[in-house]
Amino acid sequence: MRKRIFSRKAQIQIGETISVIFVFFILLLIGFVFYAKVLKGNAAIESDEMAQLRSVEIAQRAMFLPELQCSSDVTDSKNCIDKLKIESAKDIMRSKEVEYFDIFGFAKIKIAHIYPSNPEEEIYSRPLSEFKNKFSTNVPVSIYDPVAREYGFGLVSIETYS
Amino acid sequence: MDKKGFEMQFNWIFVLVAGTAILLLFSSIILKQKSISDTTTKAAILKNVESIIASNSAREGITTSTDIPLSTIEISCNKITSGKVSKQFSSLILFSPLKITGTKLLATSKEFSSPYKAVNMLFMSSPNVKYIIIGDDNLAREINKSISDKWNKGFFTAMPEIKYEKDTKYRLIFVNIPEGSFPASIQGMPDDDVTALKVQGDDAKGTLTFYSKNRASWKENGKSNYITKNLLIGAVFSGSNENYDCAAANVFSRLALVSGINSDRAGKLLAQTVNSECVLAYQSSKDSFDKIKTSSALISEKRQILTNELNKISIESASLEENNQKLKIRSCPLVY
Repeated sequence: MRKRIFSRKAQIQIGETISVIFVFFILLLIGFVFYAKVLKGNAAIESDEMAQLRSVEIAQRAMFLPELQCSSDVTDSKNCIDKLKIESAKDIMRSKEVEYFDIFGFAKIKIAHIYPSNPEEEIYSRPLSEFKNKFSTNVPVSIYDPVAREYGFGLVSIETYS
Repeated sequence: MDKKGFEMQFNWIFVLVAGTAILLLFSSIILKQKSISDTTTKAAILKNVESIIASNSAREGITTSTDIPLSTIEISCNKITSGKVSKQFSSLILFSPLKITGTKLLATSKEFSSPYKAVNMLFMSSPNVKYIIIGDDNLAREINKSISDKWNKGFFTAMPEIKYEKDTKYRLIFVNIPEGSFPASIQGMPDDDVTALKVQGDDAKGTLTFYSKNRASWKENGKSNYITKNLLIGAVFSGSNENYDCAAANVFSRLALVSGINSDRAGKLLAQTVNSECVLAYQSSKDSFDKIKTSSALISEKRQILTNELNKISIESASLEENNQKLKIRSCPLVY
């Protein structure tokens, strides 16, 4: 009779230990799920910030590209695009896609002439068909025609995808 | 053994197994977390380097100092590695030592113009690397002037007595003087910590000889060439002739692309101009752009800085400068 009581007590003790461990693991699992969610949220915010930073970097690169910049006879060659270079730059960027992919990545760069005429030219196009983020940066520029010696006004629009 | 004793023993075995399992679980979580954290840090360092490359490709001449977690960044041809994380580029224009160790990254960029701007070249190093420029001519002074005081550098007209400084790597630049014997004061340093470059030429063009330390003497690792002072500065920062040739070949690859665009532009100016005096200058400039494009493309393709092609580029650059000047005098649109 006494032996049966001890055996039962031991079984209850083991049962208690198992349930404590079970509850502990359940709590641990809940903790992990919560931690993973917080981490995922932080990673998403960081990824957004990185994508925005990359977008600005690409815009900077596009604006200082010697392939498009005005020649030295222009007073301020910064933020100035040579009209005669646009067509050739477009062709070269299309034929040397690998070289320019390193510089611009998944992006689309368009030059819109606003004044005097208003055609739009796409000089680089490598968009992502499925993307999480898309950022657009528009930079106003002078468009210089060296033959007519006239300045026009345009907008370089840079779309980056991630 | 009675039943009670058996039950007690079983209880202890159960506690031991459960305890070990919990300990193992936590240990594996900690190890995994540490490895994730390491990889994240290395990836963040690479992102920093990428940002430096991007921002310096847009501006010129500003020396930036970036704080990073203590780490070693390895730079090889078109590849940057930090720990297990690496980034491959199709065309990386970065002149730097083979390994950068420390908590600070110094970077600056200079444009490559021959004579028109083709690209911004990035120079990167650490304050732990000391650049010792030795020479007694204008070129040596020019090199010293071109490297900002923010870099760890020294300028001497003759071989100085180099004092060994802990955690410092040395790069000796011999400008139009022989490399001489290996400095006795730094003979005890590890071989990887001392490199040298011998420059023979002027600020327009010349030859480069790369050396590394081999116990108590210099070991020649290879030769190369340069045109323009800024490409020479690139060689000063390059840890090996392979890295210099790789980055310089990428510079010439961009020069070929920009020359192609400038050639098309000169063709358009030629077609639309009526001034007969300018027509000749445009025609000659278009030929020069085409020749520079061909030579640059050849250097980029062979991945070797060929002397003959550099000479051709120098000659055509001079001709372009002359034509641009003529066009300026005649009040015609310039070719670059």
